[in-house]
Amino acid sequence: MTNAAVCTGCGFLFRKTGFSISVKKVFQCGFSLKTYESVKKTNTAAGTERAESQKAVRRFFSVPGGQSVIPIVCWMLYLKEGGEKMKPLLHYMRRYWHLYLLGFAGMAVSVGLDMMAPQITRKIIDHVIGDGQTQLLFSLVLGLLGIGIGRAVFQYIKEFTYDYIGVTVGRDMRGDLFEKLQGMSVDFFDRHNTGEVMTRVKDDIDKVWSVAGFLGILAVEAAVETIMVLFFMIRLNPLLTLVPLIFLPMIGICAVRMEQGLGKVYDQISEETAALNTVAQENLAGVRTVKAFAKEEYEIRKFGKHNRKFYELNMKQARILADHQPVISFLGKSLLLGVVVAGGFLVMRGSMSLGDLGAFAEYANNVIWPMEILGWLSNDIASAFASWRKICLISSEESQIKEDDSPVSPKEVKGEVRFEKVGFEREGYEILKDISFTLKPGKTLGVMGMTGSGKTTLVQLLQRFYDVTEGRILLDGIDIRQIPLKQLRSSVAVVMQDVFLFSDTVSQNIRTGRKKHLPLEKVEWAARAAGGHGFIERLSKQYDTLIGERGVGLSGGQKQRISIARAIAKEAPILILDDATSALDMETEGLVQKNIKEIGKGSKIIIGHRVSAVCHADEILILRDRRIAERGTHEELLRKKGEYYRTWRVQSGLLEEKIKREGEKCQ
Amino acid sequence: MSVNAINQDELQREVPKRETLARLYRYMFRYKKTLAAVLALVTVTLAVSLATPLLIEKAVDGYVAEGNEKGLLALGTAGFVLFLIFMAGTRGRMLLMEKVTNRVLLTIRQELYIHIQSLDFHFFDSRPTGKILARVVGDVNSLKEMYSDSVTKLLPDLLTVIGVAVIMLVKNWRLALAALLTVPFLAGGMMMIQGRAHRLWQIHRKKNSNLNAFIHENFSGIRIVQSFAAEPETSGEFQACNEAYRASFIEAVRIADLFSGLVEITWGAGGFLLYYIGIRVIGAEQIGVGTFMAFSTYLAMFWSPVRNLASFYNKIITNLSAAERIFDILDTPPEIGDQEAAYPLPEVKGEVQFSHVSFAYTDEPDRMVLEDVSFRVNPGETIALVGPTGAGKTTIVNLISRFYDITSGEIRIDGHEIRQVTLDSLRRQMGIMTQDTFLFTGTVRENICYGRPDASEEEMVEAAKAVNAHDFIMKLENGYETQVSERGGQLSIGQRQLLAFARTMVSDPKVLILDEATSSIDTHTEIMVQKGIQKLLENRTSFVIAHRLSTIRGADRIFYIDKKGIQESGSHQELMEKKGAYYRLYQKQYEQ
Repeated sequence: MTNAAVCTGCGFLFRKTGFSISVKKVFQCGFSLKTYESVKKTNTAAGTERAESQKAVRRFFSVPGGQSVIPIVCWMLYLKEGGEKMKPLLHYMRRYWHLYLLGFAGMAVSVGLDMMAPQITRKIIDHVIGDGQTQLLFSLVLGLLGIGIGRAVFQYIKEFTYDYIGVTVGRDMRGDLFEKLQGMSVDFFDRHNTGEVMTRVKDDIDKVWSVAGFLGILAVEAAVETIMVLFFMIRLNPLLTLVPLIFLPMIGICAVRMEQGLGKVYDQISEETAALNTVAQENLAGVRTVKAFAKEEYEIRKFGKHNRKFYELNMKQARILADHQPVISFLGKSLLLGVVVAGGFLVMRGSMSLGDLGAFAEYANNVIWPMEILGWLSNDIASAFASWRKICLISSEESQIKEDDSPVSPKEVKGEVRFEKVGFEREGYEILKDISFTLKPGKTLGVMGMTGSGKTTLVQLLQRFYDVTEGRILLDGIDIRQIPLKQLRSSVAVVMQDVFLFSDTVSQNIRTGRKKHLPLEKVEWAARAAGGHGFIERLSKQYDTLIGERGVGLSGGQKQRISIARAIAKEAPILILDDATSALDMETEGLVQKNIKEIGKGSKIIIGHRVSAVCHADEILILRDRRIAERGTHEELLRKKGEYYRTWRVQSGLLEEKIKREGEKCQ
Repeated sequence: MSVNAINQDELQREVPKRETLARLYRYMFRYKKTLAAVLALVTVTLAVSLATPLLIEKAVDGYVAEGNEKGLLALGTAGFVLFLIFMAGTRGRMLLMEKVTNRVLLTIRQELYIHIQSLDFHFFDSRPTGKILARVVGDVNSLKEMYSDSVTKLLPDLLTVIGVAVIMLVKNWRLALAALLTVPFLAGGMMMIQGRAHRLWQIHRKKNSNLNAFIHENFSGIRIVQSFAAEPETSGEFQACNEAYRASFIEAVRIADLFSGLVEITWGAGGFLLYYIGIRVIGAEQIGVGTFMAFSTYLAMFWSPVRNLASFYNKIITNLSAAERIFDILDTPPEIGDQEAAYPLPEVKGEVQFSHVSFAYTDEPDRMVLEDVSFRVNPGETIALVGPTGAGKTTIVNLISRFYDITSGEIRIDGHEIRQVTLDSLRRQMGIMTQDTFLFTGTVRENICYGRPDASEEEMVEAAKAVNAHDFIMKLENGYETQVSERGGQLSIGQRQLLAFARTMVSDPKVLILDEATSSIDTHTEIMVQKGIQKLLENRTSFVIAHRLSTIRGADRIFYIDKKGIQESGSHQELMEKKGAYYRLYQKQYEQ
């Protein structure tokens, strides 16, 4: 996933290094199909790179027959898609209106200068060479040089300005989108996987800003240039203008058709790339399973099938390119030859000067490029448009967890937790029903239950990852829905079942949420309490050791200890351990439990499978079938001889006589 | 063990660049005939491209100036035909070259994948999945450009530069020299811009991947972020990444945008020199109008090859590193493979024997993990391995399935030395379950039948029932046809373990290894699972690693592993009476 996204950057980067707005020159100088290809390749293609990154963009946007750039751009500027949250694109662009003006001025001047060049050539041919007025020569060629220098300056102003605006608008939008998405409730992230969220924040924004910046201006420039060139052509010779008027639409149609064909193939390529990635990724992640079952052959065949498909799609793409690109370049070459031949007749008939023909040919060169990039441009803009729609769509979703309008903010949270007839339902499934308990400040609650009985949900409800669908949860007597979210979550420290560590140092991981303030002594104290100090000290850089994504390089037990330390370091009034010691050996587990009992005066909720983890609790709940099946202290539950008793017997494996001798106690 | 975290650069062997390059092109040279055809077509199209300005010149100077209408028409027709040839040639060239390139990539990717499958755990232990993946897909794709460019761009570009210069010199050497005066400046300027820009783009690329990594991680760990109310903190970090990304882009375009300016100036200066020197020094009467037009077109044909040549070196450098990473894997020898005389292990009863086994990881040969371990396990026996973390319990079971090779000693199964039998036949008779259960994307059925796709419906259901998975599977939306994924959102960790159990059951192993396999299942379920396992295990040898003593007590024998070997062994009863390390461990848990 990450890799795919990294590639967008490369794609874009190649595009930039390669040609930026000098695409124009590429086409102007004509004749150079190779260059056009390089433009295409670095852009749309390297085939796969781009496809990889923009997974499924086009799928949502089937390009209608007649693509028209300008309406799309206008639509985009005002588009809100019902998303009150994401401001219209225009809002972001408006801030930089003066820069847009500057860039536009740069473009206008440089196009204007461009129009003058053929006029000078014409004068040189007609007056200097034709009529022999050599005294004019120096000022005319100086004019050519001047145009070159002038264009260089104004082109640079234009390009740099638009690149600057584009990336800045992108930054602003990305910042807003990130803030918005980060604040979404957990159910949002259940529905949208990380890859998707990442595509929105990274790739889609990148596409949109390219339209806000250089793509947009390129489109405008192409349009302006075409109109101006045609205007000058008609002024030079209306009859000869018929030649470009015949060829230009043909080139345009061909370019657009190629893009449509490619669009479809890119969709398939991006899907296949994803499939290829998934197969390889699963195989690598599950390499132990593959090897354990000796299924390497099978896996190779599976990959080979996708590899082959990938090859075929790439060839399909190549065929579409090969069907259109040579035609486009053929038409471009023919246009020029046609102008010279037709113009030649006009000159011979005396209805046109030789200089006019020279100028006309130069103009003809100038008008091929807007046609050729038409397809590419409308396609890119269309796909940016699709991206923008998706950004709007995702940002129009609302967090299910809402802050109360008049929040009640307790001065100091003591840590009394109270569930009152709490029920929870998700997507039509009942997960918890009729859960009631009170956890007094400083006391400990133990929770046990079968796999999937809703233990973790309990914790999530308390943190307001989800809102209860029945009953209510009170913290210090206040409904948690009335407490500011930040304060609520700051009051609860959770060690989750699924350990997640950030790619950062050990100490920064333990400091999560308070990276700036927490002193190292506190970090060490927390690590000690979690039984992690010892192994951390043995790491290459102790607390400054970098640990990777999902804690690569650490064992399960080590990761778990850091995650416990992180929760302890939070020093919240309520500490929750959600099956958090499963990967620890018994000795460490015992130590951690002892430490947790001793530190802090806060309330604790301990969820576990082992009796030894919960037996010290002041109250133990046994969940079964969404409800509380048994409750009481260790002793009470043993006397009940219910499920808890059976579990305890199996786990402790006490010998009968030992029970008699030492009684039923939990130390 | 060497740790290769995300933010660390991977270590690579240093290989001379030329060698890598030669090796890369060997893949392509398998298609000699196609390449020859491509080259022929490139030559044809190039010739047409180079001739086009000459056509225009001839038209203007030769026919229009002299009023030769027939000639002009004939030339127009000839040009049209030439362009048709050009079109056909280009099309053919594109198709053939794409075919070669894509074939080569197909081959490399497949070779790489097959090779990776043969590598041992040591390889996978030392690097994160993401980095291996990047090589299989990303790095291979990035070779594409290099292959196709070197044939369809580098060569023609060189030829274009030479051809254009030659044509101009032949036509009018003085005018040519005047016009070419700008080219060295152009080339020099391009080199400078490319060099600077390349470095700046590299920086930008790094910032880009930092931003990507940050977004990915932040949203993967969003629950932690929210739970720790760390949003302000991560926002700050994000804005910093975001700004760095922007700043590096601006830095890069500041230089890269100079490029089109350079083209414009060269164009202006070229025109200035061409016309001024042409007319003032040489004299217009000697040069036709058409020649001027042709020369200005030729001049324009210079910059794109020059630019390509300037950037090609950078491209090679970038892509070579991708190639090096690929070859680095291809050159990693699989440490564990079949010996030449390996024979398939016949169906075993399950007798496992260790004789004086010692083991150390290859990268730390001095640190012995196991030393002189000997034991014999009878067919059908259940052995529990206990002991402190890191004592080598997992190592012992990994050695049995030959995930690592022992340093000295011998391991025999039913009397067969495991290094002398084929890996495939050995592992097919083993059932290995680890703590982290891995499910493949697919249906529940596909996952359960992973080890034996030909298993019948009854066998599958029987296995699922035996491990108590049948009931919950039936409660799933589509029963056995329900889709699960790697991280399998809809299944709890315990349910995933049950599926993995069923998968192992279906494959009907002779030797079963449970490495902490039940740690995430609640006791209630575990009891049921174990009942099921017990029933199925009657004729199987099994090794069980567990923390819970309740799981361990039922074993026939218990090995207490510590200090590089077996410290105590015997039944629960015997070990308790011995009052040794096991007894102390037991007491400790009991006390809790």
